Amino acid sequence: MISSQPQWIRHLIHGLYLAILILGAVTMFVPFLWSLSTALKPLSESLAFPPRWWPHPVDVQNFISIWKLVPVARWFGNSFLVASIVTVLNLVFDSMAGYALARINFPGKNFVFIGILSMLMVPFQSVMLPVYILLRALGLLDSYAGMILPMAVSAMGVFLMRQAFLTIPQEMEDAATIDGAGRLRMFVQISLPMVIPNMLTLALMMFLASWNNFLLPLLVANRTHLWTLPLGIVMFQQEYFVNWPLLMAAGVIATLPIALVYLLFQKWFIQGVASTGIK
Amino acid sequence: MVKVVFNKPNQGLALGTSMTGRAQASRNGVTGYLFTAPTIILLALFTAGPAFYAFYLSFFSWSLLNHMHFVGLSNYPQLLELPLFWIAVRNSVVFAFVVVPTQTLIALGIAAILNQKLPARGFFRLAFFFPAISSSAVISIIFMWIYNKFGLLNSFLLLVGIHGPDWLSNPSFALSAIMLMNIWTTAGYFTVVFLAGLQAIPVSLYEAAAIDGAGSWRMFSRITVPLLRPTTFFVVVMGIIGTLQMFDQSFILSQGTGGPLHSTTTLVLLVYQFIFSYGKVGLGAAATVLLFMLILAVTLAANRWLGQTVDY
Amino acid sequence: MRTKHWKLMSKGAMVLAIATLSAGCGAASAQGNNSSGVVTITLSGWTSSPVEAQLMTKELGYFEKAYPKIHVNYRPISGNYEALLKTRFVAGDAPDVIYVNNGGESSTFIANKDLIPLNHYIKSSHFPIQDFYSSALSLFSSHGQIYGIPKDQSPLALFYNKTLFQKAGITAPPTTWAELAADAKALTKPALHQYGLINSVQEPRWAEFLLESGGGVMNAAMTRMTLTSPASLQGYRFFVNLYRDHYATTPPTVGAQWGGQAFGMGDAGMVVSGNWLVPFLNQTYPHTQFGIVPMPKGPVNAETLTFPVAYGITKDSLHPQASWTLIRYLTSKQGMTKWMNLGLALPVRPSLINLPYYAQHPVLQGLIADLPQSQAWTFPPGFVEYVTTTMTNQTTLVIDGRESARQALKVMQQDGTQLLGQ
Repeated sequence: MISSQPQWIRHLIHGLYLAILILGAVTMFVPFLWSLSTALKPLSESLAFPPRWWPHPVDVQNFISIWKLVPVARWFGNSFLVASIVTVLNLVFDSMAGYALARINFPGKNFVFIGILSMLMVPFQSVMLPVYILLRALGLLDSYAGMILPMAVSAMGVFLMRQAFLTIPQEMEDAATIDGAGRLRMFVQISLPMVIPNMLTLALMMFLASWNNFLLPLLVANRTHLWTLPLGIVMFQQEYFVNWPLLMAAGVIATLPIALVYLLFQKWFIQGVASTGIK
Repeated sequence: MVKVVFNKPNQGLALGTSMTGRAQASRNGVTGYLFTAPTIILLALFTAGPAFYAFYLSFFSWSLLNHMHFVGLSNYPQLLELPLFWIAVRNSVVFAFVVVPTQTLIALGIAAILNQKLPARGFFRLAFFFPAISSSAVISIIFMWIYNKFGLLNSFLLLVGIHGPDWLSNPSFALSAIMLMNIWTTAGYFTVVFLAGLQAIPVSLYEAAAIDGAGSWRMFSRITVPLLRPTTFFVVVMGIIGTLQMFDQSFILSQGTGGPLHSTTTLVLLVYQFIFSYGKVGLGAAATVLLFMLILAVTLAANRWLGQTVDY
Repeated sequence: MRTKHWKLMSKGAMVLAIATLSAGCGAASAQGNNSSGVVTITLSGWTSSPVEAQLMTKELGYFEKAYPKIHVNYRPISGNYEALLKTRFVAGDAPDVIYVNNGGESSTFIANKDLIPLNHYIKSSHFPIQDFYSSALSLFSSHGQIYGIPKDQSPLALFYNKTLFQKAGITAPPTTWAELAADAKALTKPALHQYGLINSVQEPRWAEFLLESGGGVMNAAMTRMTLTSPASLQGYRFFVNLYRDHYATTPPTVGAQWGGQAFGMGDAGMVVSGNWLVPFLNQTYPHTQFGIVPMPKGPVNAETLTFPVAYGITKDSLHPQASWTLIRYLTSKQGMTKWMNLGLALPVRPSLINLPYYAQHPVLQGLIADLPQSQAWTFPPGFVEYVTTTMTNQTTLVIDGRESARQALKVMQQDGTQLLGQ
């Protein structure tokens, strides 16, 4: 920021800012580090008060126990499969709807848009029962499809994509229209390539939303071999809910893959989250 | 968000020039609906339909196991007379009114700092956003452990000589503990949103103000805050929706009870209990309808205060 | 208009649901009948551990070998069993055979006619129904009809920490209320986070004491609240005074989630608990030295609460006969013996209390000794909310000293009476 303040005041202020940021960052990491620390302790040591941060000796038994007690790999695979398909479907459907709402001037457009946005206000818990009845009627209980279809479009995603398409210059399409290109071709060949960063963001957001969801799998998946990782962890929590080190190890196992994805693709996350709020 | 609809220029209008208006309009109509059909169908099936069904259920007395019978509007007055309903309303509203301003202010403050030329900005942005990517179920379990009577939080408090309470079993602290956790989870997310909003503000405005001799605070309050209004609107509305719909955290931290002494019974948790535990589906459905209306009303109010466009 | 439209839609959805269900089942049975005459039935319950689910799967394997014409689909319901089971009923997707729980669940299922009466099957297959504890059986009976065959039960008993007792110089576990209070006092050392008794204040824990003073929450026919009787007040006061005198406390005080955990951590000298605590302690806190004795005798008797669970056949079952065959197999002496050898719960048949398993695990004798004077924990339909909220809240207020015992009982009596009137 350009300012007329003396040099030393600016240094002081920057030092203060840095201190705030460091404190904030530590606050953000402490719970995760604490869960990792607990996960590496035997039960008896985990209850020490005041707590010890550094487990000694480091004990990976909790992770081994979880691996033996429950089919973590299978749950991991289920989560991955469900989240991937949910992501692909959202990419297709949300971007199509977002495109139409941004680019095509069709009758009732505003109504459709408000309708889609208002869906954000319906809490899933309150429609759980009808959703369950519906899935049963469609024969989708105890199936991957039952965990995927209700999440295949997202009002938030449509909103995000609409915002993205609004930023593309109109002239690009006008030129294509004069060439006689059809809507679908225009959409796929001209507009989509211009919003690839937003698509990546949408992909990551939907992947996360699906990966972290536990109420829908809880409702749909009866059999343990269909459980997703977070559902499995919550179930595990109910069975072993007082063995903190074991639970924290489960939490670490559930968080690590997501943390990895986040670190690898952080640019797209941040950019995408940012783009939801600008307009 | 509602605002967005009305302020957008009609981008599709330019297309009308190459064909006759009517043909173009009808073709656009077909294409528009073809493109939005999957979204409309899936949302209608899995969100709107069930929401209307919940509305329909609010006119019935039903325990899930017995035969439904029509009771007209009587669930609504019955609900409004229940002290528990008002406790839940109070908890949800208090929760929203503490969490939304706090997380908005923290997010704005941190974003303003991050927008300065400081070292390791990328790292800090990464760190602040991290809690937002983790599952609320896992985070709730971690915090349950931190809030233990002999947990991490109380050990920190002990350093300054405070003997902390057992947070989650103390009716005076349980809701605050969940608020704290919620702010911790979402503040970073909104920080990133604000940061993008900040970066969209033209630097020239600040330069001009600096030439006029404006100080940092003055620039922040006169340029940053007003120009961030659309972003703030988004953050506040998303915050309101998120907090009024809070369920997972209350459910897991109170082990499904909403206790102690109903201090963590939020509206959505009450809806869940009515429908699935207490066999009062009609009351739960009526509470859903009222919750929806509450969210709508607060969102519209926010739209009124924050939703106007700002011209500079 | 809209309402009517949605009413139609929802009816449509329901019809569709039922149609799909019948089509599904029809297909399954038709397919079975055509080829080999095999019928498929579904069994649902909850599981407390992976071991339990494994044993059930193994048992069902034996069953299918013995009855090759019946195939059993075992679908345990995890999480909130009651809630999810109800959604199954709503969707017309109820399993053929379910675990029926105590504490108001059995009465609700019976009152709503969600279970079919079994008398006819019991009679025609000469099922030895007389070899069941009447307390357990009565929970699943109504107007002379039996709706569930008890599978197991867990009575409440007193668990005591032998090491802490020794340190406090107490030679024997308490057998009377006076001894219980004195021992609790001697065991309490707040500086060490150690308390005589650590239990949550949920209804069964204190209702236990009402029974022993000759009172109770309701009369036997469950038509009248009896909380304000002098006997009930006496029992309630004894319980809450342990907390008010700080010889008893709730689990979070010592950083525990439930009484059993506080006991395992060595912070509780005693805990009132059931059979489920034994495998938990063995698994999670194997170093805790504990003993189990029947509930100390109160001024009137030593009655205790028990939590029986039964198998029932749901009204939607298309194969009640096959379902009954399964229940008969699982509740036979042989089937139950295997179940009891898991140590998760106690027998519902008196003829099984002398199993070799109990000679090998003498610690369980304290629980078994409670069985003859035990009463099943139950409520009329529609009481779940009242029991989990009003009763717990009132008692929380009392132990915090914010309300008198008499006042709390008065509030509970009023609210309960109002519920009964509905």
